[in-house]
Amino acid sequence: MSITANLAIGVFSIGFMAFAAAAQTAKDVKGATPLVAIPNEPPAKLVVDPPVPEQLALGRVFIQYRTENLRILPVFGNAALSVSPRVGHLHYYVDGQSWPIVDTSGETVVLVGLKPGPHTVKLELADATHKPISGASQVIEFSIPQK
Amino acid sequence: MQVYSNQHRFAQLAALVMAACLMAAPGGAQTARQVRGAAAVEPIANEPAGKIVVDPPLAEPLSRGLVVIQYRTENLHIAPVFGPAALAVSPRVGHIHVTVDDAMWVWADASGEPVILNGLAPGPHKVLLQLETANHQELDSGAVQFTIPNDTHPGSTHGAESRPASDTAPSHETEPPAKIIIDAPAPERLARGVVFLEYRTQNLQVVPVYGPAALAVSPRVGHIHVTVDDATWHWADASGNPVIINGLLPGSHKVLIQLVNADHQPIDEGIVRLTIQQRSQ
Repeated sequence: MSITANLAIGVFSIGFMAFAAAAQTAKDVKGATPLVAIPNEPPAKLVVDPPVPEQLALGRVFIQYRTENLRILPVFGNAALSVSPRVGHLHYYVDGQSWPIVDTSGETVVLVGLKPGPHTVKLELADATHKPISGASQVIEFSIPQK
Repeated sequence: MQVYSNQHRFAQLAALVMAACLMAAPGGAQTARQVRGAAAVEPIANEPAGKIVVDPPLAEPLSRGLVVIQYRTENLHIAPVFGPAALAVSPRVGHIHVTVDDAMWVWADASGEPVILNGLAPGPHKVLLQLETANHQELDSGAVQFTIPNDTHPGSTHGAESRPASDTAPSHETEPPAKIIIDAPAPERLARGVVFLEYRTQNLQVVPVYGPAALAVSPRVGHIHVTVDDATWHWADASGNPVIINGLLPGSHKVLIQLVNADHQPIDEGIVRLTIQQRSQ
């Protein structure tokens, strides 16, 4: 009885933590303000969504992504490596191309006009000197439908 | 048997709560869309109401007299896109209006960056953030109240003023001095009481990158500080967007725009003097 009660209380408290997350502050969602340096900032992280399905059905590839512990900005060079909170940008490669497309907008990656059939897009976070950040890359595979 | 059935009920309850948790759990590994909202390139039919969530000012900067207010929006992308035609844009775009201490006037901010105020007098203050459509109609709002402690020094941001600039600005020997060029207020807007100031910078990129380490970044980075009518305080803006102020009382006004480096030290400045006409209505 007491074990199950404890279990229930435990599960409840996890539930409350999850509910607290549902009413997220701006900081929870947007990350720390850029105005205050963060000592020992955790590694940069890249989260990539699959292409928006309704748009993919129309042959348009809209890939949303977000970052943690890295702000996407057009700031480059060795000196920028010391900036805190961390700054960097996105590289992406379509269908195995050998060179990256550099994107500092932070906006959705948009590819319209790809041929019907399977495609891959690799996205990676790069530091301000264009060095890929290890562990912060993802490959998205999708197929453009026949018209 | 009674005990068993109680246990059974608990187990069921636990399972239900667990299921609820699992549904909420993607909070732990949220997709880009869950965090950022729908992509701006994807129109949305019947988009829910726009919403703003405003955090209290960050405690540590506040203890130094620096007010940093983070906010986020739902169902509205903050973008410098204005006018009635933009009301039809989907997903919805808009911006915020900021009011300090119940002033009659606001400034518009379409950067999405935190609201940053420095130099407010010690004592209680209130900042109102209104979420606006592209055509400046209020959709939602959030206000924060806070107290500036007594032992701060208005005007100092990171204690930067106590350091000689030469200690913290190692590079840029070869880069020409940074400059700000401010256009006269747009006349047709000024006639409507709106102060719309476009500016550009030379040899300095306006970006939200701060701190002493950023002083070494080349090409140089920085932002602006804006002061209205000789107030003790200013706001910071790192968007590069025009400065937009609305609601100033009829009469003469002065807007000071300082170009500052990433550590908030002034580099250049421009002063705009203007007159708001008495409105006919």
